[in-house]
Amino acid sequence: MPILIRMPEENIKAVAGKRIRLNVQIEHPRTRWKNIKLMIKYNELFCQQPVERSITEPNDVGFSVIADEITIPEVPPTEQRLGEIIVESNGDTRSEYLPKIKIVSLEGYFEESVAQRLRELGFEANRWGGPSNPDVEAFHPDQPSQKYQVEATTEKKYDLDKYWKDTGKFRDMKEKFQFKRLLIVTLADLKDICPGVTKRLKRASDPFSLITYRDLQKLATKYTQIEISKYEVLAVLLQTGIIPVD
Amino acid sequence: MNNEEFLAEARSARVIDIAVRFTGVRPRIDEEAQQIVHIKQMQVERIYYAGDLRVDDFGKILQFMKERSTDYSTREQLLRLLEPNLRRLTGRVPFDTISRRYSRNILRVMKALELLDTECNMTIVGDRLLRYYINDKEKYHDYLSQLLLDRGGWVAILTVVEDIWKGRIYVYGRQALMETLKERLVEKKYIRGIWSPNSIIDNLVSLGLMKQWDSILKTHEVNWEKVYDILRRKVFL
Repeated sequence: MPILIRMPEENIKAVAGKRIRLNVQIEHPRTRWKNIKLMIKYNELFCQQPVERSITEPNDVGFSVIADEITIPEVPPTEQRLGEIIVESNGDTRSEYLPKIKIVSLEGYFEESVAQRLRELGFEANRWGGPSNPDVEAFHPDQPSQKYQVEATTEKKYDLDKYWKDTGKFRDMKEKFQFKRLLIVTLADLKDICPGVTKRLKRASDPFSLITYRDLQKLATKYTQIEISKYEVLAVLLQTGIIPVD
Repeated sequence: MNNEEFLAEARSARVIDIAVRFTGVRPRIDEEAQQIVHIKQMQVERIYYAGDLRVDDFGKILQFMKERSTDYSTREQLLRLLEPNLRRLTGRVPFDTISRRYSRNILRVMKALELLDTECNMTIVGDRLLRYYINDKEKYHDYLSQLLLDRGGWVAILTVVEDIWKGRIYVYGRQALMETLKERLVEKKYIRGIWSPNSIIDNLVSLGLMKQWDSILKTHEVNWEKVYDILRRKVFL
Protein backbone atom coordinates (compact mmCIF):
# COMPACT_ATOMS: atom_id res chain seq x y z
CA MET A 1 0.00 0.00 0.00
CA PRO A 2 1.61 3.27 -1.06
CA ILE A 3 2.10 5.59 1.92
CA LEU A 4 1.76 9.38 1.63
CA ILE A 5 3.27 11.71 4.21
CA ARG A 6 2.35 15.41 4.01
CA MET A 7 3.68 18.28 6.06
CA PRO A 8 4.41 22.02 5.65
CA GLU A 9 7.54 22.83 3.68
CA GLU A 10 8.48 26.05 5.42
CA ASN A 11 11.65 26.73 7.38
CA ILE A 12 10.89 27.42 11.01
CA LYS A 13 12.76 30.13 12.93
CA ALA A 14 13.29 29.38 16.57
CA VAL A 15 15.10 30.65 19.64
CA ALA A 16 16.60 28.47 22.34
CA GLY A 17 13.84 27.16 24.54
CA LYS A 18 11.19 27.20 21.81
CA ARG A 19 8.86 24.23 21.84
CA ILE A 20 8.11 22.40 18.61
CA ARG A 21 5.11 20.09 18.73
CA LEU A 22 4.70 17.36 16.13
CA ASN A 23 1.10 16.37 15.56
CA VAL A 24 0.97 13.23 13.41
CA GLN A 25 -2.46 12.19 12.20
CA ILE A 26 -2.46 8.67 10.74
CA GLU A 27 -5.50 7.64 8.73
CA HIS A 28 -6.14 3.90 8.98
CA PRO A 29 -5.94 2.04 5.65
CA ARG A 30 -9.23 0.92 4.11
CA THR A 31 -7.91 -2.54 3.26
CA ARG A 32 -6.90 -5.11 5.86
CA TRP A 33 -3.88 -4.23 7.95
CA LYS A 34 -2.11 -5.72 10.93
CA ASN A 35 0.15 -3.06 12.23
CA ILE A 36 1.18 0.54 11.53
CA LYS A 37 4.55 1.52 12.91
CA LEU A 38 5.62 5.14 13.31
CA MET A 39 9.16 6.29 14.07
CA ILE A 40 10.45 9.82 14.51
CA LYS A 41 14.22 10.17 14.52
CA TYR A 42 15.49 13.56 15.61
CA ASN A 43 18.65 15.30 14.49
CA GLU A 44 21.33 14.58 17.12
CA LEU A 45 21.69 18.34 17.65
CA PHE A 46 18.40 18.30 19.54
CA CYS A 47 19.47 15.51 21.94
CA GLN A 48 16.02 13.96 21.82
CA GLN A 49 15.24 10.27 22.04
CA PRO A 50 13.58 8.80 18.94
CA VAL A 51 9.87 8.10 19.11
CA GLU A 52 8.46 4.66 18.24
CA ARG A 53 4.76 3.91 18.28
CA SER A 54 2.68 1.02 16.98
CA ILE A 55 -0.98 1.03 16.05
CA THR A 56 -2.41 -2.47 16.10
CA GLU A 57 -6.16 -1.98 16.13
CA PRO A 58 -8.63 0.15 14.21
CA ASN A 59 -10.97 2.46 16.08
CA ASP A 60 -14.35 4.11 15.51
CA VAL A 61 -12.95 7.29 13.98
CA GLY A 62 -10.62 5.62 11.49
CA PHE A 63 -7.46 7.51 12.40
CA SER A 64 -4.95 7.83 15.23
CA VAL A 65 -3.05 10.86 16.45
CA ILE A 66 0.47 10.67 17.82
CA ALA A 67 2.01 13.79 19.33
CA ASP A 68 5.51 14.57 20.50
CA GLU A 69 7.24 17.74 21.68
CA ILE A 70 10.80 18.87 21.43
CA THR A 71 12.54 21.92 22.94
CA ILE A 72 15.18 23.80 21.00
CA PRO A 73 18.47 23.57 22.89
CA GLU A 74 20.86 26.42 23.68
CA VAL A 75 23.23 26.20 20.70
CA PRO A 76 24.95 28.72 18.40
CA PRO A 77 22.83 29.92 15.48
CA THR A 78 22.50 27.21 12.88
CA GLU A 79 20.04 25.73 10.38
CA GLN A 80 19.32 22.01 10.59
CA ARG A 81 16.60 19.50 9.69
CA LEU A 82 14.50 18.62 12.69
CA GLY A 83 14.79 14.95 11.81
CA GLU A 84 13.00 12.23 9.90
CA ILE A 85 9.63 10.50 10.12
CA ILE A 86 9.29 6.83 9.07
CA VAL A 87 6.01 4.97 8.60
CA GLU A 88 5.83 1.21 8.09
CA SER A 89 2.79 -0.95 7.37
CA ASN A 90 2.20 -4.34 5.75
CA GLY A 91 5.75 -4.50 4.47
CA ASP A 92 5.71 -1.01 2.93
CA THR A 93 7.91 1.72 4.33
CA ARG A 94 7.99 5.44 3.66
CA SER A 95 10.17 8.12 5.18
CA GLU A 96 10.20 11.90 4.86
CA TYR A 97 12.47 14.61 6.26
CA LEU A 98 10.94 16.90 8.85
CA PRO A 99 11.09 20.70 8.23
CA LYS A 100 14.28 22.73 8.71
CA ILE A 101 14.78 24.68 11.91
CA LYS A 102 16.80 27.90 11.84
CA ILE A 103 18.04 28.53 15.34
CA VAL A 104 18.65 32.23 15.91
CA SER A 105 19.45 34.50 18.86
CA LEU A 106 16.65 36.51 20.44
CA GLU A 107 17.84 39.62 18.57
CA GLY A 108 17.85 37.69 15.28
CA TYR A 109 14.39 36.31 16.02
CA PHE A 110 13.14 39.83 16.73
CA GLU A 111 14.58 41.12 13.46
CA GLU A 112 12.83 38.27 11.62
CA SER A 113 9.58 39.08 13.38
CA VAL A 114 9.84 42.75 12.38
CA ALA A 115 10.52 41.77 8.77
CA GLN A 116 7.50 39.43 8.89
CA ARG A 117 5.22 42.21 10.23
CA LEU A 118 6.37 44.51 7.41
CA ARG A 119 5.62 41.78 4.87
CA GLU A 120 2.15 41.48 6.36
CA LEU A 121 1.80 45.22 5.70
CA GLY A 122 2.55 44.62 2.02
CA PHE A 123 6.22 45.58 2.12
CA GLU A 124 9.07 43.71 0.52
CA ALA A 125 11.28 43.09 3.53
CA ASN A 126 14.66 41.43 3.66
CA ARG A 127 16.47 40.67 6.90
CA TRP A 128 20.24 41.23 6.77
CA GLY A 129 21.52 41.19 10.35
CA GLY A 130 25.10 41.71 11.48
CA PRO A 131 26.96 44.85 12.65
CA SER A 132 27.92 46.12 9.20
CA ASN A 133 24.51 45.56 7.65
CA PRO A 134 21.09 47.01 8.24
CA ASP A 135 18.85 44.81 10.35
CA VAL A 136 16.08 44.84 7.75
CA GLU A 137 15.79 46.47 4.33
CA ALA A 138 12.22 47.23 3.25
CA PHE A 139 10.22 49.06 0.61
CA HIS A 140 6.63 49.13 -0.56
CA PRO A 141 6.07 48.09 -4.20
CA ASP A 142 3.98 51.25 -4.73
CA GLN A 143 6.91 53.42 -3.63
CA PRO A 144 10.06 51.50 -4.55
CA SER A 145 12.29 54.56 -4.26
CA GLN A 146 11.30 55.11 -0.60
CA LYS A 147 13.63 52.47 0.80
CA TYR A 148 13.62 51.97 4.56
CA GLN A 149 16.49 50.97 6.75
CA VAL A 150 14.81 49.22 9.64
CA GLU A 151 16.69 48.87 12.92
CA ALA A 152 15.11 46.41 15.33
CA THR A 153 16.16 46.79 18.93
CA THR A 154 15.37 44.58 21.92
CA GLU A 155 16.69 46.99 24.60
CA LYS A 156 14.39 47.40 27.58
CA LYS A 157 14.79 51.15 27.38
CA TYR A 158 15.48 53.10 24.21
CA ASP A 159 17.94 55.79 25.18
CA LEU A 160 20.00 58.46 23.44
CA ASP A 161 23.02 56.21 23.20
CA LYS A 162 21.08 53.71 21.13
CA TYR A 163 19.52 56.51 19.13
CA TRP A 164 22.94 57.87 18.10
CA LYS A 165 24.08 54.40 17.14
CA ASP A 166 21.05 53.75 14.94
CA THR A 167 21.07 57.15 13.24
CA GLY A 168 24.86 56.91 12.76
CA LYS A 169 24.40 53.54 11.08
CA PHE A 170 21.80 55.11 8.80
CA ARG A 171 24.16 57.90 7.77
CA ASP A 172 26.89 55.35 7.02
CA MET A 173 24.66 53.09 4.98
CA LYS A 174 22.26 55.35 3.20
CA GLU A 175 24.57 55.96 0.23
CA LYS A 176 25.55 52.32 -0.14
CA PHE A 177 22.02 50.91 0.10
CA GLN A 178 20.21 54.03 -1.15
CA PHE A 179 18.04 54.29 1.92
CA LYS A 180 15.71 57.23 2.16
CA ARG A 181 14.24 56.67 5.61
CA LEU A 182 15.13 55.12 8.94
CA LEU A 183 12.49 53.18 10.83
CA ILE A 184 13.37 52.16 14.37
CA VAL A 185 11.29 49.34 15.81
CA THR A 186 11.72 48.90 19.53
CA LEU A 187 10.54 46.16 21.84
CA ALA A 188 10.31 48.77 24.59
CA ASP A 189 7.02 50.52 25.35
CA LEU A 190 6.50 54.23 24.70
CA LYS A 191 7.02 55.01 28.40
CA ASP A 192 10.48 53.43 28.21
CA ILE A 193 11.67 55.79 25.46
CA CYS A 194 14.03 58.41 26.81
CA PRO A 195 12.64 62.02 26.56
CA GLY A 196 15.81 63.15 24.77
CA VAL A 197 15.04 60.69 21.96
CA THR A 198 11.46 61.90 21.70
CA LYS A 199 12.71 65.52 21.46
CA ARG A 200 15.17 64.72 18.69
CA LEU A 201 12.66 62.67 16.75
CA LYS A 202 10.34 65.65 16.65
CA ARG A 203 12.70 67.34 14.21
CA ALA A 204 10.77 67.07 11.00
CA SER A 205 13.85 67.55 8.81
CA ASP A 206 15.27 64.11 9.60
CA PRO A 207 13.63 61.17 7.88
CA PHE A 208 13.60 59.17 11.13
CA SER A 209 10.61 57.33 12.57
CA LEU A 210 10.18 55.16 15.64
CA ILE A 211 7.42 52.69 16.31
CA THR A 212 7.03 50.18 19.10
CA TYR A 213 6.78 46.54 18.12
CA ARG A 214 3.37 46.33 19.79
CA ASP A 215 2.11 49.19 17.60
CA LEU A 216 3.63 47.64 14.49
CA GLN A 217 1.77 44.41 15.31
CA LYS A 218 -1.44 46.39 15.80
CA LEU A 219 -0.99 48.08 12.42
CA ALA A 220 -0.38 44.75 10.70
CA THR A 221 -3.50 43.24 12.29
CA LYS A 222 -5.63 46.21 11.18
CA TYR A 223 -4.32 45.89 7.64
CA THR A 224 -4.77 42.13 7.36
CA GLN A 225 -8.30 42.49 8.75
CA ILE A 226 -8.97 45.16 6.11
CA GLU A 227 -9.70 47.87 8.66
CA ILE A 228 -7.22 50.17 6.95
CA SER A 229 -6.02 50.47 3.36
CA LYS A 230 -2.48 50.29 2.04
CA TYR A 231 -2.57 54.10 1.53
CA GLU A 232 -3.24 54.56 5.23
CA VAL A 233 -0.37 52.19 6.05
CA LEU A 234 1.99 54.19 3.83
CA ALA A 235 0.79 57.46 5.32
CA VAL A 236 1.36 56.16 8.88
CA LEU A 237 4.86 54.84 8.22
CA LEU A 238 5.92 57.96 6.31
CA GLN A 239 5.39 60.05 9.44
CA THR A 240 8.56 61.25 11.08
CA GLY A 241 9.00 61.04 14.82
CA ILE A 242 7.24 58.59 17.10
CA ILE A 243 4.42 56.82 15.29
CA PRO A 244 1.41 56.17 17.45
CA VAL A 245 -1.14 53.54 16.43
CA ASP A 246 -4.60 53.60 18.00
CA MET B 1 5.70 44.62 25.12
CA ASN B 2 8.88 43.90 27.00
CA ASN B 3 11.65 41.38 26.58
CA GLU B 4 10.08 38.77 28.82
CA GLU B 5 6.75 38.93 26.99
CA PHE B 6 8.42 38.73 23.62
CA LEU B 7 10.62 35.84 24.74
CA ALA B 8 7.58 33.99 26.07
CA GLU B 9 5.89 34.52 22.72
CA ALA B 10 9.00 33.42 20.82
CA ARG B 11 9.21 30.25 22.90
CA SER B 12 5.52 29.38 22.62
CA ALA B 13 4.77 26.02 21.04
CA ARG B 14 4.83 25.82 17.28
CA VAL B 15 2.71 22.98 15.98
CA ILE B 16 3.75 21.05 12.89
CA ASP B 17 0.84 19.04 11.51
CA ILE B 18 1.82 15.87 9.66
CA ALA B 19 -0.72 13.78 7.77
CA VAL B 20 -0.09 10.10 6.96
CA ARG B 21 -2.36 8.50 4.36
CA PHE B 22 -2.50 5.08 2.77
CA THR B 23 -3.52 5.40 -0.84
CA GLY B 24 -5.65 2.64 -2.38
CA VAL B 25 -3.97 -0.07 -4.39
CA ARG B 26 -4.75 0.34 -8.10
CA PRO B 27 -6.16 -2.93 -9.45
CA ARG B 28 -4.41 -4.57 -12.38
CA ILE B 29 -5.55 -3.58 -15.86
CA ASP B 30 -6.94 -7.04 -16.62
CA GLU B 31 -8.93 -7.10 -13.37
CA GLU B 32 -10.30 -3.64 -14.04
CA ALA B 33 -11.21 -4.56 -17.61
CA GLN B 34 -12.96 -7.72 -16.39
CA GLN B 35 -14.95 -5.66 -13.92
CA ILE B 36 -16.00 -3.20 -16.62
CA VAL B 37 -16.97 -6.00 -18.98
CA HIS B 38 -18.87 -7.85 -16.25
CA ILE B 39 -20.94 -4.73 -15.49
CA LYS B 40 -21.63 -4.06 -19.17
CA GLN B 41 -22.55 -7.70 -19.78
CA MET B 42 -25.34 -7.47 -17.16
CA GLN B 43 -27.10 -4.97 -19.44
CA VAL B 44 -26.79 -7.08 -22.59
CA GLU B 45 -30.09 -8.49 -23.82
CA ARG B 46 -28.83 -9.89 -27.08
CA ILE B 47 -25.75 -9.99 -29.24
CA TYR B 48 -26.01 -8.30 -32.59
CA TYR B 49 -24.39 -10.01 -35.50
CA ALA B 50 -25.26 -11.30 -38.96
CA GLY B 51 -24.17 -14.53 -40.59
CA ASP B 52 -20.41 -14.47 -41.04
CA LEU B 53 -19.98 -10.76 -41.39
CA ARG B 54 -16.33 -9.73 -41.21
CA VAL B 55 -14.68 -6.67 -39.71
CA ASP B 56 -14.07 -4.87 -43.02
CA ASP B 57 -17.54 -5.65 -44.34
CA PHE B 58 -19.04 -2.84 -42.27
CA GLY B 59 -16.77 -0.31 -43.94
CA LYS B 60 -17.45 -1.71 -47.40
CA ILE B 61 -21.22 -1.60 -46.94
CA LEU B 62 -21.12 1.93 -45.55
CA GLN B 63 -18.99 3.03 -48.46
CA PHE B 64 -21.46 1.41 -50.88
CA MET B 65 -24.35 3.21 -49.19
CA LYS B 66 -22.53 6.53 -49.43
CA GLU B 67 -21.81 6.05 -53.14
CA ARG B 68 -25.41 5.06 -53.90
CA SER B 69 -27.08 7.47 -51.46
CA THR B 70 -29.10 9.08 -54.25
CA ASP B 71 -30.50 5.70 -55.33
CA TYR B 72 -32.57 5.01 -52.25
CA SER B 73 -34.65 6.91 -49.74
CA THR B 74 -36.41 4.11 -47.80
CA ARG B 75 -35.27 0.95 -46.05
CA GLU B 76 -36.97 -1.25 -48.63
CA GLN B 77 -35.18 0.49 -51.47
CA LEU B 78 -31.85 0.06 -49.68
CA LEU B 79 -32.52 -3.65 -49.15
CA ARG B 80 -33.31 -4.11 -52.84
CA LEU B 81 -30.05 -2.32 -53.68
CA LEU B 82 -27.96 -4.31 -51.20
CA GLU B 83 -29.17 -7.87 -51.97
CA PRO B 84 -27.63 -8.34 -55.42
CA ASN B 85 -24.42 -6.57 -54.43
CA LEU B 86 -23.59 -8.45 -51.23
CA ARG B 87 -21.45 -11.11 -52.83
CA ARG B 88 -19.47 -8.50 -54.72
CA LEU B 89 -19.10 -6.28 -51.67
CA THR B 90 -17.97 -8.98 -49.27
CA GLY B 91 -15.90 -10.83 -51.89
CA ARG B 92 -17.18 -14.28 -50.93
CA VAL B 93 -20.20 -16.52 -50.87
CA PRO B 94 -22.11 -15.52 -47.75
CA PHE B 95 -22.65 -18.00 -44.94
CA ASP B 96 -26.36 -17.19 -45.07
CA THR B 97 -27.29 -18.01 -48.60
CA ILE B 98 -30.67 -16.29 -48.42
CA SER B 99 -29.45 -12.86 -49.36
CA ARG B 100 -32.66 -11.03 -48.44
CA ARG B 101 -32.52 -12.33 -44.88
CA TYR B 102 -28.80 -11.65 -44.71
CA SER B 103 -29.26 -8.05 -45.91
CA ARG B 104 -32.03 -7.49 -43.37
CA ASN B 105 -29.83 -8.86 -40.56
CA ILE B 106 -26.96 -6.66 -41.67
CA LEU B 107 -29.12 -3.56 -41.51
CA ARG B 108 -30.43 -4.68 -38.10
CA VAL B 109 -26.88 -4.98 -36.78
CA MET B 110 -25.90 -1.60 -38.22
CA LYS B 111 -28.93 -0.01 -36.61
CA ALA B 112 -28.02 -1.60 -33.26
CA LEU B 113 -24.50 -0.19 -33.60
CA GLU B 114 -26.13 3.20 -34.38
CA LEU B 115 -24.46 3.37 -37.77
CA LEU B 116 -27.89 3.90 -39.32
CA ASP B 117 -31.08 5.44 -38.04
CA THR B 118 -34.61 3.99 -38.36
CA GLU B 119 -34.88 5.34 -41.92
CA CYS B 120 -31.54 3.70 -42.78
CA ASN B 121 -29.82 7.05 -43.16
CA MET B 122 -26.21 7.17 -42.06
CA THR B 123 -25.78 8.70 -38.61
CA ILE B 124 -22.80 10.66 -37.27
CA VAL B 125 -21.45 7.40 -35.89
CA GLY B 126 -21.75 5.74 -39.29
CA ASP B 127 -20.13 8.71 -40.94
CA ARG B 128 -17.25 8.63 -38.48
CA LEU B 129 -16.71 4.90 -38.96
CA LEU B 130 -16.69 5.35 -42.73
CA ARG B 131 -14.20 8.20 -42.43
CA TYR B 132 -11.90 5.98 -40.40
CA TYR B 133 -12.37 3.11 -42.84
CA ILE B 134 -11.21 5.34 -45.69
CA ASN B 135 -8.38 7.16 -43.88
CA ASP B 136 -7.14 5.17 -40.91
CA LYS B 137 -7.61 1.40 -40.70
CA GLU B 138 -6.30 1.14 -37.16
CA LYS B 139 -8.78 3.73 -35.89
CA TYR B 140 -11.50 1.99 -37.88
CA HIS B 141 -10.79 -1.30 -36.11
CA ASP B 142 -10.61 0.38 -32.69
CA TYR B 143 -13.84 2.32 -33.21
CA LEU B 144 -15.64 -0.72 -34.54
CA SER B 145 -14.36 -2.67 -31.50
CA GLN B 146 -15.85 -0.05 -29.20
CA LEU B 147 -19.18 -0.14 -31.01
CA LEU B 148 -19.37 -3.92 -31.03
CA LEU B 149 -18.46 -4.18 -27.35
CA ASP B 150 -20.62 -1.29 -26.16
CA ARG B 151 -23.64 -1.46 -28.41
CA GLY B 152 -23.38 -4.81 -30.11
CA GLY B 153 -23.36 -6.77 -26.85
CA TRP B 154 -20.07 -8.47 -27.71
CA VAL B 155 -18.90 -8.09 -24.12
CA ALA B 156 -21.08 -11.12 -23.44
CA ILE B 157 -18.97 -13.22 -25.81
CA LEU B 158 -15.80 -12.28 -23.93
CA THR B 159 -17.33 -13.24 -20.60
CA VAL B 160 -18.75 -16.53 -21.91
CA VAL B 161 -15.40 -17.56 -23.44
CA GLU B 162 -13.64 -16.59 -20.21
CA ASP B 163 -16.20 -18.58 -18.18
CA ILE B 164 -15.74 -21.66 -20.37
CA TRP B 165 -12.02 -21.54 -19.81
CA LYS B 166 -12.20 -20.74 -16.07
CA GLY B 167 -14.94 -23.34 -15.58
CA ARG B 168 -12.37 -25.95 -16.70
CA ILE B 169 -14.80 -27.44 -19.15
CA TYR B 170 -12.78 -29.86 -21.22
CA VAL B 171 -12.43 -28.56 -24.74
CA TYR B 172 -10.39 -30.85 -26.95
CA GLY B 173 -10.04 -28.41 -29.79
CA ARG B 174 -11.10 -25.13 -31.30
CA GLN B 175 -14.21 -26.58 -32.90
CA ALA B 176 -15.34 -27.90 -29.54
CA LEU B 177 -14.91 -24.46 -28.07
CA MET B 178 -17.06 -22.98 -30.86
CA GLU B 179 -19.81 -25.49 -30.22
CA THR B 180 -19.74 -24.92 -26.48
CA LEU B 181 -19.73 -21.18 -27.06
CA LYS B 182 -22.77 -21.39 -29.32
CA GLU B 183 -24.65 -23.58 -26.82
CA ARG B 184 -23.96 -21.13 -24.01
CA LEU B 185 -24.98 -18.10 -26.07
CA VAL B 186 -28.25 -19.75 -27.13
CA GLU B 187 -28.88 -20.91 -23.55
CA LYS B 188 -28.53 -17.33 -22.29
CA LYS B 189 -30.74 -16.13 -25.15
CA TYR B 190 -28.07 -13.83 -26.47
CA ILE B 191 -28.33 -15.13 -30.03
CA ARG B 192 -31.01 -16.20 -32.46
CA GLY B 193 -30.93 -17.24 -36.07
CA ILE B 194 -28.07 -18.22 -38.34
CA TRP B 195 -24.68 -17.93 -36.71
CA SER B 196 -21.08 -18.68 -37.32
CA PRO B 197 -19.24 -18.59 -34.00
CA ASN B 198 -16.00 -19.26 -35.86
CA SER B 199 -16.46 -16.05 -37.69
CA ILE B 200 -17.27 -14.03 -34.60
CA ILE B 201 -14.15 -15.29 -32.83
CA ASP B 202 -12.09 -14.60 -35.98
CA ASN B 203 -13.37 -11.03 -35.86
CA LEU B 204 -12.43 -10.66 -32.22
CA VAL B 205 -8.96 -11.97 -33.01
CA SER B 206 -8.49 -9.68 -35.99
CA LEU B 207 -9.62 -6.72 -33.85
CA GLY B 208 -7.00 -7.69 -31.27
CA LEU B 209 -9.58 -8.25 -28.54
CA MET B 210 -8.73 -11.93 -28.37
CA LYS B 211 -5.51 -13.79 -28.92
CA GLN B 212 -4.88 -16.54 -31.43
CA TRP B 213 -5.90 -20.08 -30.54
CA ASP B 214 -3.69 -21.42 -27.75
CA SER B 215 -3.34 -25.14 -28.31
CA ILE B 216 -1.96 -25.69 -24.79
CA LEU B 217 -4.53 -23.67 -22.88
CA LYS B 218 -7.20 -24.78 -25.36
CA THR B 219 -8.79 -21.39 -25.60
CA HIS B 220 -8.67 -17.98 -27.19
CA GLU B 221 -7.42 -15.79 -24.36
CA VAL B 222 -9.09 -12.42 -24.01
CA ASN B 223 -6.68 -9.53 -24.49
CA TRP B 224 -7.84 -7.54 -21.46
CA GLU B 225 -5.30 -4.77 -22.00
CA LYS B 226 -6.78 -4.07 -25.42
CA VAL B 227 -10.32 -4.34 -24.06
CA TYR B 228 -9.47 -1.79 -21.35
CA ASP B 229 -7.84 0.43 -23.91
CA ILE B 230 -10.93 0.40 -26.13
CA LEU B 231 -13.49 0.82 -23.38
CA ARG B 232 -11.66 3.36 -21.21
CA ARG B 233 -8.82 5.15 -22.91
CA LYS B 234 -9.65 5.62 -26.57
CA VAL B 235 -11.54 8.72 -27.67
CA PHE B 236 -12.99 8.99 -31.16
CA LEU B 237 -13.79 12.38 -32.67
